[in-house]
Amino acid sequence: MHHEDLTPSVIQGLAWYYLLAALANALAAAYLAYGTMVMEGNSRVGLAPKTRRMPSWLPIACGVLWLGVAILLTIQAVAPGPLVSAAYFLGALANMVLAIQAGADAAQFGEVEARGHALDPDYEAPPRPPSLDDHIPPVGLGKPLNRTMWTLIWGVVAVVFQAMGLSYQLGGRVAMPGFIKDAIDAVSGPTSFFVGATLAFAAMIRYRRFLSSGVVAWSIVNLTLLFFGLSLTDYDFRDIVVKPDNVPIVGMIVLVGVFTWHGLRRAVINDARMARGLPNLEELEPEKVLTWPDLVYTELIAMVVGTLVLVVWAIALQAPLEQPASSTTAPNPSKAPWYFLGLQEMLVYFDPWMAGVVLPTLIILGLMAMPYIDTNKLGNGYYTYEQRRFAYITFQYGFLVLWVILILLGTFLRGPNWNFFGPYEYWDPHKLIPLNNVNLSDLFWIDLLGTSRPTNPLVREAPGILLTAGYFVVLIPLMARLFFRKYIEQAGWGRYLVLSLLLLFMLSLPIKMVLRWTINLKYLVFLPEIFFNI
Amino acid sequence: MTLKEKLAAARGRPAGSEPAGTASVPAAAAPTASAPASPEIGHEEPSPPAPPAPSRETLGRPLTLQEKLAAARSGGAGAAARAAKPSPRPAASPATSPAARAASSRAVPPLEQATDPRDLAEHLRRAGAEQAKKAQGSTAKAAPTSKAAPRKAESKVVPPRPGREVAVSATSRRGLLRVGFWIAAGWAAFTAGMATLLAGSARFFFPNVLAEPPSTIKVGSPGDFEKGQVEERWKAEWGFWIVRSDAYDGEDKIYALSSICTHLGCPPNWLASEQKFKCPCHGSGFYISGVNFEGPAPRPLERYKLTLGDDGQLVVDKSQKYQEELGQWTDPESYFKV
Repeated sequence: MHHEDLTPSVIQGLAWYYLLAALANALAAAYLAYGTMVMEGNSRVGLAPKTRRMPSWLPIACGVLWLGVAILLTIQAVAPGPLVSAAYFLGALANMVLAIQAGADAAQFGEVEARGHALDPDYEAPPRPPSLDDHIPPVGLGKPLNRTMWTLIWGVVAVVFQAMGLSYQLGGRVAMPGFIKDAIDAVSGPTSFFVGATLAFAAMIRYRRFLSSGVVAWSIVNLTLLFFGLSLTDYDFRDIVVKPDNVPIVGMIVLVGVFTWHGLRRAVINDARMARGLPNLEELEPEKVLTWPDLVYTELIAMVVGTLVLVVWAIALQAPLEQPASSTTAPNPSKAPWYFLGLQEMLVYFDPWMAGVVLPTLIILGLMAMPYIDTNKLGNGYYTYEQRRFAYITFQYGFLVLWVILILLGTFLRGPNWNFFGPYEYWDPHKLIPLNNVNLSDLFWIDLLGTSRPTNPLVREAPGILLTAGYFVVLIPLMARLFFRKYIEQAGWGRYLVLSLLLLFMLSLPIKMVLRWTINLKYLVFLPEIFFNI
Repeated sequence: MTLKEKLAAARGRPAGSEPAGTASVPAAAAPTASAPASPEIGHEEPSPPAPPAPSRETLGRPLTLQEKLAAARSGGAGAAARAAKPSPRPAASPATSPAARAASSRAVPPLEQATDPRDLAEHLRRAGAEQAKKAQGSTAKAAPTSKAAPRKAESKVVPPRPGREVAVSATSRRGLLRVGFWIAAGWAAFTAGMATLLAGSARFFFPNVLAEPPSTIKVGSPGDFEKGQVEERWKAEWGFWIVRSDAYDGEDKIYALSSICTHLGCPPNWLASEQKFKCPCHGSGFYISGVNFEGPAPRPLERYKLTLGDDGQLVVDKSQKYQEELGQWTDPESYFKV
């Protein structure tokens, strides 16, 4: 049973959430309607000036309305009164005006463009030089987009978000339907989450050109906003997401997403440019700025903003101090600091010696070894995917899926007793998930051969030891023959051995996880006699 | 111009030899392409009038840095000798290098107005030449032996690194000795300090007083415990449960189970409704017998020594552990048979 408690403060918060979502979309619509549309890597020299101008009253009107919002909220903070709703309606009005005017102007511009053709069928538009109005997409990102249509779409999205916000403001109780929550809870589990993340990563690589388009990215942002907003109506979801501990992790999802997208987009554009023999984006852009004033001013502003954010954050969200540390009691669930939650998730699948010492050491050593293993001289100082495919995929899989995704799993989806809970599930400490794990030796001797386990530990664990040794002994030459022939020619066997060992250790994590989930395998090699388990 | 093109221009290498960036700014490539090669360090073409310098072709391998330096030096010297025959100039004077001559054919604007990196380089070169001249003059006055270096260069023999042994006089040699002494003393002091710190840290592990709590506690008489009971009273302070159960081997026994998970040392919780111990850190689960069955814990919970005291009370001794996987649970001191 899901727990919905739309208290007045929650409803108020959601109303403002959608107000901001509508503002973002209204700004997107205005950007498409009035902005200069020459994208990355295209020269602006010789282009005709733009004719799509924002009506001068529009920014003034929106500015005045938002100023009113700020003034009303300030008064409200000093002397409490019913001014919050007034402020809200002013903000909503500003959003509506911006979205509707941008849409109307975009349609108008489209009409102006088409009119010449409509009047006279024989009329041919004079060959005019391209102007700053023309949407010239970056090389490699496909066709120009229809500015009128997309302005209208983002305008409509803004209006819809604003309408949702207004309905909350007027006391509406829109909530995510229970059956959707049930469905999401039912399909979520560590297996589906992790395998889904891996598939999503593969899709990101495969469809990177599609994803690099700004329209697609903004659509994803909008869907995420809607999904997150609707999810916030659920008590259990909200309880976890707005916990002061977890707020920075929600922010981290946004940051990781934005930077990954930005890098991938520049890489796609650069790859397409270089394939056509054009200089890449980084060569086109000036590499240097003046220390004074550019750099120092930027640093000053960054410092001030950073300090402000930290101060406001520290006041608004109370740091959670828990009970004094004790060796005999632990909170349930006991969670590591957020940046170590990936390691904690690894510890579920490995012996502490392995996941706590060997693998972290290998991660650090591997990162240090990278410059020595990497013989690919390309991609220095510019974003690229095509020229560094192996490096990009390996690093991003390790970072995004094997680290960030595991942090998310540990933060949001691991509850009491380290059980897995769906995003809308109540954290029941008595949730029963049968996890009867077995070792490979049991599977081999008892289930497969039908005998009892041999008493000699080495004979008992022979299948696991052979399998583990075979993993390295067979796969290293096999990979050398299949995938790394050119690399070995360039870099030599020494580098290849280091690379392949690191790679196999990295892959051992997802392999072990999948084995745990599918056949409940606990350890491949189980030697408690010498405290050694793999 | 991009930085690369500027660098290429400064080196005198045609910008077209750089793979990228030529298409974007074709105008920049034109003037630099005509710029002559300067005998700069790192340039691989051997200077033609330098017979003693080995070339890449004759050696069949890339030149080492030292050879390149020697080639650059002798090339400069040779050119200098030919350019100014009546009055042979000092060997490595860069002012008379071919590049300088070529560059001086252009009008060089004053330093404040120089925007072209080549002009800037030219200014630098001139300033360096003046300084070198001054230095040569002063050393010549100070030590007459220093004339050996330029003379060598005149006879077109590749000179050794100029100036080094020239500069070190008898007095400065003594100074060097003194510097060496201070360096050695500094390192000795550093080593001694680190050794002291290390010894102090090692000593830290052997405190004078070790306040250890008593390891034994009386937990009551055997009759106080019912079958299937997990007594949690001692968990918070002592870190064990008293369990009475026949789950392990069918015999009704009382035993003291350590409340430390064998995976990574978190304290598990007793979940009575599920009849299991469950760890909050990584989800390891143990039966009431203490045997592990789920999650990553590799072995059962440990038992503490449990004996019946003279007063009929059970005594738990935490200093003695019994591990199932080592076969120690058969030890009669690891349980009390009811």
